[in-house]
Amino acid sequence: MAKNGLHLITPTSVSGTGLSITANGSVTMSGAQYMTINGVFTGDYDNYMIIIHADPASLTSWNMRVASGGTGENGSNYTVQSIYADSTTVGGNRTTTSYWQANYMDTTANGFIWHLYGPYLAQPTAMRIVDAGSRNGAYINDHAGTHSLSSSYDGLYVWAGATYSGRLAVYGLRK
Amino acid sequence: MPTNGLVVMTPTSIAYSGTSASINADGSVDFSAVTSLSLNGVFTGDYDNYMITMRMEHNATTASSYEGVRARLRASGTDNSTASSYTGQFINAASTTVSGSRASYDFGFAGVAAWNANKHNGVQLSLFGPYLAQPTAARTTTISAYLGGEIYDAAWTHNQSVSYDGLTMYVTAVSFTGLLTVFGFNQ
Repeated sequence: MAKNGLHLITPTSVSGTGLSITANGSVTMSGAQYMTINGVFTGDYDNYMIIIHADPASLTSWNMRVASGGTGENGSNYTVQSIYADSTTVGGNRTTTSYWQANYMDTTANGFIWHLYGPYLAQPTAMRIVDAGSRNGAYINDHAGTHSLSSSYDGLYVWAGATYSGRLAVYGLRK
Repeated sequence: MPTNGLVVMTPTSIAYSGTSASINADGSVDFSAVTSLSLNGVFTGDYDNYMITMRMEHNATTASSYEGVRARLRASGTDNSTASSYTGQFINAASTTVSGSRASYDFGFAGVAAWNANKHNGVQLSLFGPYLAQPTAARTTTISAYLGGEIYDAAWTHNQSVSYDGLTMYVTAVSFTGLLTVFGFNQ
């Protein structure tokens, strides 16, 4: 018998202005800027996929941390390698700081898929973002990131430089 | 019990130009030597975001043939072909050469179909908010069979604040063959 491979996960709670959880488990965001998503990573799954479809009030980028017990891990333990295409300019860069910074978004038509590998496991976490952004009409800005601590995390702390509205959903990949 | 995260969106109907196309019992769509394929009723108010997985080959007869499969969003059976309403940003990696480009057209992009001795190309097309009456974002990740393997991805936007329930894919030369499935991300 075939089994569902991808499960929509309901957060145990969210904190932040303009956030609510739907009956099925996604998070709607309306004028939000800082959000903590709790209890979405568990021992039931190793790997996760997060979809964010949101538009900000002004051009900005996302900032992300893994979180445990409602608190984002804020050490300088996040490294992100980016690759971007802006018209004919293609480039990349790598930074290490206290959060993953990702995905420029302009005020309409943005979405991305964020893969997280092993956040609940007490080992370093890997992530990958594949995005569609509207900066300059259309913009590619993909990211591969790591978080170096061997700790277990059950949630996320995500914020941006402007308020935003849209939807976030966390999915677990059956193991 | 966990909520299913991906839901197969069976088209309410399809239309095509070319040899054949049909909806399978599992909701996927087979198509053979088509120049255009329209999917109706695959985007609904139940879901904001969608993923289309597709394998396809381009039915050209020379190895140099290489064509993007174009896409237009459609509402109630009519494609939106507003001039310059679709903007695409491309990134291409072919061996050691990486390049980019951006342009606006009256169509978006479903992926690249390259002819290579009947090898299939693979595409994942993610669509963000096509049914919502606001601009749509989309992203393709493509495995092109051209010269054995090539990356040809696109991020594109469509600037019309219109609700769409379907998508048309088409080529301007020869035809394409393959299979696709539309999934909605439960929310």
